Amino acid sequence: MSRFLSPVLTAVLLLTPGILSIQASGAKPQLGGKSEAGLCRAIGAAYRPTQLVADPVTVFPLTDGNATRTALRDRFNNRWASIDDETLAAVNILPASWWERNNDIAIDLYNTIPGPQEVNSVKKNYPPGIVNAPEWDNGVWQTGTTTVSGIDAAFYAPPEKFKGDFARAVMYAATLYNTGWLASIAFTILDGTDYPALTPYASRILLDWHRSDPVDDIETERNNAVEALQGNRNPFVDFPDLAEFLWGNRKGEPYAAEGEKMPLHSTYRLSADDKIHLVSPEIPDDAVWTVNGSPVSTATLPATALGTGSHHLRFRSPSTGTSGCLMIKIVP
Amino acid sequence: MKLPALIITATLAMSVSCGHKELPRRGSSTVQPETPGGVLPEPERPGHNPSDIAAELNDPTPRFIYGGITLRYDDGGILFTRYPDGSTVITDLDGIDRITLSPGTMREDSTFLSPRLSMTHGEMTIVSLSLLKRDDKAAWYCAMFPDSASTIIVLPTDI
Repeated sequence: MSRFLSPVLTAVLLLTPGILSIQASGAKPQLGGKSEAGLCRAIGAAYRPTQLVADPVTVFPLTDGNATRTALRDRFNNRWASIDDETLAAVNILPASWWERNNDIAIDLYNTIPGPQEVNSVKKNYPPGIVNAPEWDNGVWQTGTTTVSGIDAAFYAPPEKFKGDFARAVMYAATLYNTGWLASIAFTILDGTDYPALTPYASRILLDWHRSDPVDDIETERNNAVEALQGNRNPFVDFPDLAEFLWGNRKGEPYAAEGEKMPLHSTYRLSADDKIHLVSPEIPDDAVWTVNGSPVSTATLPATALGTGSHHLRFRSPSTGTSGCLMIKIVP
Repeated sequence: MKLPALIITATLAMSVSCGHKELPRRGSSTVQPETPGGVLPEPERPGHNPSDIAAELNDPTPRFIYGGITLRYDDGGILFTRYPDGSTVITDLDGIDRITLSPGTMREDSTFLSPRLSMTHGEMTIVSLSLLKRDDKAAWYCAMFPDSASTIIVLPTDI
């Protein structure tokens, strides 16, 4: 009997809560207006799986299969492997053994892809990285060592064609699974904090991979397939620029999705470019505003119109009956 | 007669134990280190100092400080939203923290019937909620929790 789930069975399981249900609590945090640690926490809270598949191998035909579901994408050998190939196994991009008290990372499909069983034994619990001194190489991926901060550390170098995919998987894991007990080998990649969560070495190489191998149809289709199984998406596939706001060339700037107005947040710069949009997912669209006690009729104020200092915003919503206040700061 | 600043004496007496710091459990013992001069005096329990309460009540800055979460209006980006049902939501627009306080119906002694408090990660059990003070700028509430911890929550009244 095939170890993979039939499409019918998969559909039944998807409709049945409790494959491995995870309770989601509270409203989904918004990302707009947040930066650095706040943005990282918001991503971690907003993109958690609602359920996990207990045995990822059973659903690989859905996430990594060809159109006819007769073969699986084997990234480690740059080939399509027959679905009947019993040597295929689940391979974690970041080793689950790094987390002593969290098994979710082992079966999270954004951290788990199909590959030959030998991949797990060859790459052991090594982190992904650059390999300067190869010890194993099949022409597609390799393991070996690289000197990082004066120390020779073991790494595996993912297949060149999929380095961006691997980078975005690590970014996902870093923002969702950045707490908990980490094995010492993890600290070449993860810093054990809420933010930046990635070490300087990791953020440098992962951003390089992320930029040089952008999201393609393969990855987008996988994102869709995993969402159907886990109820979440990898935000770094949908919104690649998130990586720049967290670790890259836009670090420190409040985040706004392309084409969207920057929601209200705490701090603005006194520059012609910085505008205060009196909008927020937390505030009704029909809110009527006062700023420092004076009514305002526009939905956008240039920061230069208010000047540096603290400014008091108040709103009332005629339709909902809600009212509120907040303070913002404008800095030089 | 309407007082500009309404202080509830009965609840103020009750609030002697209410401060923004979490109190030690009742009955808990503290191992005291020995010193050449003898045993060190037991540290004063936070929040039991009347001056702590006075300082809290003299500060009208809307705020929620408890359980590792600090949300102060004057930090910037902290949104206080009041809903028609009397509940107030405090939202950190820069982060993910979110507090919802639904006081419910206030009794004559300024305690509340069936108050509800939820924090970022879920509903919190509160033993009691009382109104300590109210003026035209702010209202000060004392929330008591099952482990004898307590905190003062200050909400704006001029919104």
